[in-house]
Amino acid sequence: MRLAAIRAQASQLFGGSLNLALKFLLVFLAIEAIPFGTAWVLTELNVRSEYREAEQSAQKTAYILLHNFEQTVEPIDSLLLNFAHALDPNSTPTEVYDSLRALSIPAPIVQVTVVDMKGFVIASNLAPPVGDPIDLSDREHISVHIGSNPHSGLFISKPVLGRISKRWTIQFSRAWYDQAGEFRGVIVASYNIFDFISFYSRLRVDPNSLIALVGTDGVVRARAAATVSFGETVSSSPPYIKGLTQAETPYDARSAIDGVDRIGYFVRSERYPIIMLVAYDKSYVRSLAEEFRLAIWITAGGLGLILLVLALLALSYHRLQQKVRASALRESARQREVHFLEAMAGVPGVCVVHVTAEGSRQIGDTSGNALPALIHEYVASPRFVAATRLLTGPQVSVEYFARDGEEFEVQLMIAPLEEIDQITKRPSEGMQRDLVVFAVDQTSKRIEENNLYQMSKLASLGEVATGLAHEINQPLGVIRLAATNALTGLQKGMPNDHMEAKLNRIIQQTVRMSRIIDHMRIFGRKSGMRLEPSDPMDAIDGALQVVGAQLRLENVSVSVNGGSDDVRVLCRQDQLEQVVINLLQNARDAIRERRRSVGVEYLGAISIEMALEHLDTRAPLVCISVKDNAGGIPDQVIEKVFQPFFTTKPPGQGTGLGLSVSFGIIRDHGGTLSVENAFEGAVFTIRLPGLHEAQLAATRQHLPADF
Amino acid sequence: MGMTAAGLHASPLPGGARVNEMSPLLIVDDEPEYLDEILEALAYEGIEAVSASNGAAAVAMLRQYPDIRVVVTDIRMPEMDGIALVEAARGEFGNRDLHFIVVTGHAAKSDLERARAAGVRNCLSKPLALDDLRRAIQSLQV
Repeated sequence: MRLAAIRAQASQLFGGSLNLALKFLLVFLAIEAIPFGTAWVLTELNVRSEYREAEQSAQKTAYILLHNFEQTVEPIDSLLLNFAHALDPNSTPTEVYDSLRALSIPAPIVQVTVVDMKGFVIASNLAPPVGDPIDLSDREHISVHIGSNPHSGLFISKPVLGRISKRWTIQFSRAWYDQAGEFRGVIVASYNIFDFISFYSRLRVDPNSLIALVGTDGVVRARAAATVSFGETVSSSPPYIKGLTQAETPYDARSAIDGVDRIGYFVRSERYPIIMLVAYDKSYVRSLAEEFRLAIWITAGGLGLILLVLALLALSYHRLQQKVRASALRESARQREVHFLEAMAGVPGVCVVHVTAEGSRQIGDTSGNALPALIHEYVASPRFVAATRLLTGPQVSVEYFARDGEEFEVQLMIAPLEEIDQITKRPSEGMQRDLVVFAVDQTSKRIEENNLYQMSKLASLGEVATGLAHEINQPLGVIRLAATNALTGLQKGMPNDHMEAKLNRIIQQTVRMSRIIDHMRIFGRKSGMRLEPSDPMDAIDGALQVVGAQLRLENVSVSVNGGSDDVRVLCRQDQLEQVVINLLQNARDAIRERRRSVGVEYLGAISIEMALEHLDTRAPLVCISVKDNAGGIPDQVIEKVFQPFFTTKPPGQGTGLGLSVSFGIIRDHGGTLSVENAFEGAVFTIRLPGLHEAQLAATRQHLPADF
Repeated sequence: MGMTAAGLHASPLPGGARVNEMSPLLIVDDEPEYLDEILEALAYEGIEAVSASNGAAAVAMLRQYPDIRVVVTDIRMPEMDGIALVEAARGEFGNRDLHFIVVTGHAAKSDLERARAAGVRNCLSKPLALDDLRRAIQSLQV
């Protein structure tokens, strides 16, 4: 039982409650979406504002740094310009060297060099000119000034390793023009690159922030990031190309050099071919307001939790209310049930028994006849327990009980009181057995009906007697003549064959007579109580044996059509036979009546037909119809034909019982008897529930039980 | 009249003529066994008889044998019953000297009334006794 309960729970979980679980999930998500959605929006706004701030700060810094750079370059530029202006083109290298030595050169400038118009060094402040002059014409900061399209203004070179100074320097170079404006050469100031870088390094706010000085040629002059570096080419990077074309532009990209996501600003110098980039590591920027965002998320979480708890509280309150209401409903339903059962128990002839696992208890009046005892015994029988184990709705049946030689016919209505599981549509697992049985004693009603039936049989006996007298006299006449002839033959000494033939004929005729008499017994017999499965064709044949001869004598033709081998009906065969006899006699009477008005040439015909009506997948209805050609029943009469003692026949001829008793018999068999007018006459149709072989077998099993 | 079975052969009918010599009897009944036995019994008596199994067949026999004068018929028969036969024969053979004896299974009042209405005075009941038939034939004075 435990296992069964677990299985039921599992099926509930996976079968019926899947929707419920989904619903819960959706509600949960909806509740939690409010705080967490707000938190997400807030943090997102926060990050954006942080980025914007970082960008603005970068822009400001870039301007300051660019300004600082320009201020650094400006004195160098004027130094070069002034020196060139003052230099005599005809000075010897030594004179040039001396004037260089005389210059006051700021510290980051490691060297000042004068180069002639062909690119050869004239003199450097670092050493007196000795030996052959060094050729620098291949160096960019020299070659840009020599040639057909010379660079104007100050040139700032890529970082180069000085040939004389042996240091990494940036070369600031200017063309040297004499007083007459003639090109004389190039003057170069070599700036120690590490001075720049160390300056920028000191400005960095986070390990990944970037300050870069980039030439308009795309080569980094100085770069301070995680490590200091220079000389990288960024000419192909899209942010650089964008920065090159505009005076200033925001930077938001992943660095091609170290792969760090940064946000910042490009600012281009208007005076020198240089761009200043300042950018901060995005993750660093985001981390600045981490606590704020964390606080938001924690608040959201707390809020979500509170909402969830509130929702759960509301839900459980609702559930509780539902439970209270349901139990109140169940209680009032119980009360009503009890009242109803007590009221039912008060109806005379009805015995109400409440059946539970503990036993059975009669409701209401416990005095009375043998019926309650029979019912108590019956509901305790294994057959009843098995039949009602899976009962989900009321069930009606008829049972026969025998006690002290008396037979009882009891109509039972069994109704389950257990709660029905909404999912399995069966009594809930583990529920206690709880049934109510209404029993109505039909025995006296049956006896009454039998008496009426008996009366109608006697009535038909009178009608049949005429025909039967003829039927019996016919063989009797043959026997008498055959005996007389045998006797004569004996006297005349006829051969033995003759005597044999006569005696055989006599035997044959007596057999015929006894068959007729057999059928007469139906009129004297009391009908049995039980319904037995029988072939409906047997009832038709039996009826024709009784009245067939009579019909033939009255010149009424009878045809029988249809039939089915395997169908049976649950009936009392003699009663069904009696109904068919009644219908045939009724048809015969109608034909007689019509013949009286139409004349002898009218040919009476009765057709009996047996057919099956399939209404649905259950057992078919067996239809036996009796049709005559006597013109039908007048409309004003047709509704009354089944009323007792209603007859259209002359006084003394009809009892008015035949059709009404037939109607009662068929209704009692769970069938219907109906009448309608067809083409030539009236059709009476008997409809009875049929049994198929399978049901037949079940019925046979059912019948020999101990009740 | 106190006649015996043997006396039938001896006793002459009025005018000296014997029924079976003059003309055959026509027996009408729907039961073949019955016809079989009665014809045999009549033959033992020396009475010539022919048979028909219903009214219509009987009318045909009357046409075929113009010398038939006595018809013994059952009342209840399919197709054309005994009374109808009497009426039909009276209509068709009005100028012939025809006599009818009806035999009924149960002497029902209605049957007797119909027979009397058709002008038949001789009614016998089943089971038929040969003596009764003989007496009835003699009473016809044919």
